Amino acid sequence: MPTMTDSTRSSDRVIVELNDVCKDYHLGKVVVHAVRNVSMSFGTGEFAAIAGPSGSGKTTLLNLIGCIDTPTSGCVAVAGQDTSTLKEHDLTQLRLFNIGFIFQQFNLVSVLTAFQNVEFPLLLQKKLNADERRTRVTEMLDKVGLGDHALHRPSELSGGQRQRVAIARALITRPDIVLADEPTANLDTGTGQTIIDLMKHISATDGTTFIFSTHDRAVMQYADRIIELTDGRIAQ
Amino acid sequence: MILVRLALRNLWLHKVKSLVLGFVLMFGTILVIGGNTLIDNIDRTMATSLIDSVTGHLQVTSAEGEDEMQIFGNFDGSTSDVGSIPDFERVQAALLTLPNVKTVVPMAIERSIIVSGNVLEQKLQELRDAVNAGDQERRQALKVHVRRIISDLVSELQNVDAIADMNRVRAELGDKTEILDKAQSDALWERFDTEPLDVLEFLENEITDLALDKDLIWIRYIATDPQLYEKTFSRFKVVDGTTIPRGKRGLLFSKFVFEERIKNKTARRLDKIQEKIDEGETIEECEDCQQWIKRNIKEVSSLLVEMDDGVRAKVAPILAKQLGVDADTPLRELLAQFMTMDDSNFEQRYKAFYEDVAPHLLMYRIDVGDDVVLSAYTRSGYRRTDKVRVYGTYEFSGLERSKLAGGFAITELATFRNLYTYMTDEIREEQAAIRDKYDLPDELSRESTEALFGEEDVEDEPAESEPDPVEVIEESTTGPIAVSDTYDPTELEKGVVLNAAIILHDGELLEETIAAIEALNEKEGLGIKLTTWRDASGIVAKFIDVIRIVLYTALFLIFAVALVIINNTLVMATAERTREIGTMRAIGAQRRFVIWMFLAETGALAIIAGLLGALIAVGLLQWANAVGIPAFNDVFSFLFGGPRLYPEWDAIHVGIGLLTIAFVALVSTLYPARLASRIAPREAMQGDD
Repeated sequence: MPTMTDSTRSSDRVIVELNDVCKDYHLGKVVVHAVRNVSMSFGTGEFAAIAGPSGSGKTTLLNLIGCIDTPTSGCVAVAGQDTSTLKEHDLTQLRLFNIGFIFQQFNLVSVLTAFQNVEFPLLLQKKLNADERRTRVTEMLDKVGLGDHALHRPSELSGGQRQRVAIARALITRPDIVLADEPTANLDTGTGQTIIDLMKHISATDGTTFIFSTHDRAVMQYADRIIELTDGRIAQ
Repeated sequence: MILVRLALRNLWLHKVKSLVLGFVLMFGTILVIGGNTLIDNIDRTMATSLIDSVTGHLQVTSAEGEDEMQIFGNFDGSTSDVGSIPDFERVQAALLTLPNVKTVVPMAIERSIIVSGNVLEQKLQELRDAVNAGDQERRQALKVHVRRIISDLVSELQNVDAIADMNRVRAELGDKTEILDKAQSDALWERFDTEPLDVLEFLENEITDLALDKDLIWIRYIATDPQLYEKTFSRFKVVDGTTIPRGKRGLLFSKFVFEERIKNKTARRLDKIQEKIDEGETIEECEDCQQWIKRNIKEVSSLLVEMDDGVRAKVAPILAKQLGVDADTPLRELLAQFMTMDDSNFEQRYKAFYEDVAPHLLMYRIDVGDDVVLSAYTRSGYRRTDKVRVYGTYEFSGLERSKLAGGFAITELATFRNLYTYMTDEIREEQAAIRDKYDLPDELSRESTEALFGEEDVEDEPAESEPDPVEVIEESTTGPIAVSDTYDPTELEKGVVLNAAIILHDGELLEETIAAIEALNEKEGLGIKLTTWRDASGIVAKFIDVIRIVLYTALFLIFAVALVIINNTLVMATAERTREIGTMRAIGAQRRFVIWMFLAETGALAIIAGLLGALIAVGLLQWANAVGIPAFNDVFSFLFGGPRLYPEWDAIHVGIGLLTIAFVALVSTLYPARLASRIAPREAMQGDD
């Protein structure tokens, strides 16, 4: 099967580019080809869904785009940098400054309040002072509709609220791309839709690229672009 | 900032775990601070105990000496053979040229036997006095008393199974049956009325040695310059009597030995029970007290033997009344009942004993002002005896109850030199003359001279009423020899000195001073070697090292356990927190951040637990400083420099304690922290492929 290249839409600039990317895993003696010969690119402001059944390589693809993993072969360029040439430290910096993450299980730090969770990446960046951080975090919490819940711990929030905190955390550094790994899978349909609405709204207003994996047809409909994966390949 | 917040939050979230770890760390801190502070305090108090009483900062001995200087003797109780300092006067003068040397006190530490007389001897002496004074009434009373003592003695000797050294007595009994029969015979006592002095001589020569209550007291003594000693050693103080006057030959007993060995045994045991009660114990709880009471009951005959009929007639009714029993009860029975004491009657009977019984007894077998016979063996085995006056008793303040410190008698060097025939110039000349005359080799001269002079003294022996105290080497045995009771004090530095104590102006400069003395020794050829007070105190000072080792072992174990516990807990925490740590890594936290997060967590715990522990430790030490830690036995009272230790805490020990805890916490966190930093960001993803 030839490599598929999907042209970018509604974007001025390419932010992520994959070129003939393969990723293999070793499970004991068995080699799993999680992603095979994927080439594609994403432009700024895209709202893209990666769809496919379980084991199709959705998460692996997200990991590669999110600089959490590097490809076995091929080239992944994020914000103009070839990830395979970067050291671990630089990959981490790239994630910190250019990428936001939203997880299926929300993955908030349980001992911190909503405010502190959102503030966390800013503290790692060490760019802003306390006042600037406060202003930005407060704005962000308002934006996701949790202005009143700043001092709540994750355990005191509902699933939807937690995912809003996670979205706020992903966006607080004003990243180029936000990657969401099955962001609605742990939410009921209604809540899931409002979360997707929120993401879509932010993508539209701020021009942030969103790439999310999902296997939910209803959620996929929100996407500008759907990339179907089967057995690690793009099937369109 | 975020690290501290995360650390504190995490600690709070896992309260139980934090509490357990915190407790271990806190306990460790208390132990490190408390233990180290106590040991250093003990070390300090012990140092002053030793330095200010006996050892000085340094001990000087001859470089030729075979053994290390051991002030308190060797493990087997023998004295060290340290040789003798070649020319003490020169050594002393040379040492005093060094700026940090304050005083050099000449010494010789040796052992000797003191013979304390027995009741029969005492009564025979009284009888002789009565005969000489022509006091018929007293003579008659004493005659009856002495006869009874002798008949008691005979029956005791025949019933000798209960006595420890029965072999000796049995061996002698074989030969002495005839003499004993004679001593008991009516014929002898009839003869006494006409020829009292002959009979007395027979009894003194033949019978007194058989008495079982005769006591040989081994003492260790320090022969020194008494005036210099008193001036130099601040803990030395005279309790009874006076110090040995300058130029006078004499002896000071340690108060402890005096009470323990010279005082009437029954009275001494009662005193000790009273001491225990004063300390807040009860007889019922105090096993020693019960033993002492048993001994008192068993040994009433030792009281009885001292009482003549007149005394018995006085004491019996008083005791009968006191006990509320029939006045006809035999005195032995009364005394036994009287001595059966418990918590309810001790106070009253203790008082009654001293008011009604003690005045009729000899409380101290040796009194201040008496002459005592010292007996010692020269290095080559010849026995020498010497008579010195007991001027009083002394104690080392703070160490009153320590047998170790209180074991020494103090005498002057003249008596020591006499006992060991260390030669005066006069004798040395004489000896040289003899050697020349008979062409004796040098090595033999010492022994032969001792033999010569040892025997010579026998001829000089005046007719003394004092009997020969010991019967071991008959052929060389001498009675007390007539030696002048004075000596020339300017001779003190000139004769033989075995060792000397150096007292420094500044004890902190010990190492520097040792170096200076050794340089001087080299340059001047003094032929001396040095032993620090610590080494010279031998087993006593080693004890602190033992305590230290025990403490450090305990600390090591506690910290090893703490290390394992903390390590395990954190490794488990790492596993629990894999997703959280993965998330942090995914959203941009570096590995270093994760490591710091773990370090901050145990660090915060260590700081909190450490400070709490330090606070508790300081509190405990303050409290101990206010009340004092009681020395529960003799060794501790020595180590504590007194009956109680008043420890003082200081910032250095607290600092060391906190650092130790921080170090342990840090080390125990390194592995789990590294493990956590290796968690891949991928762990954050719910990944289904």
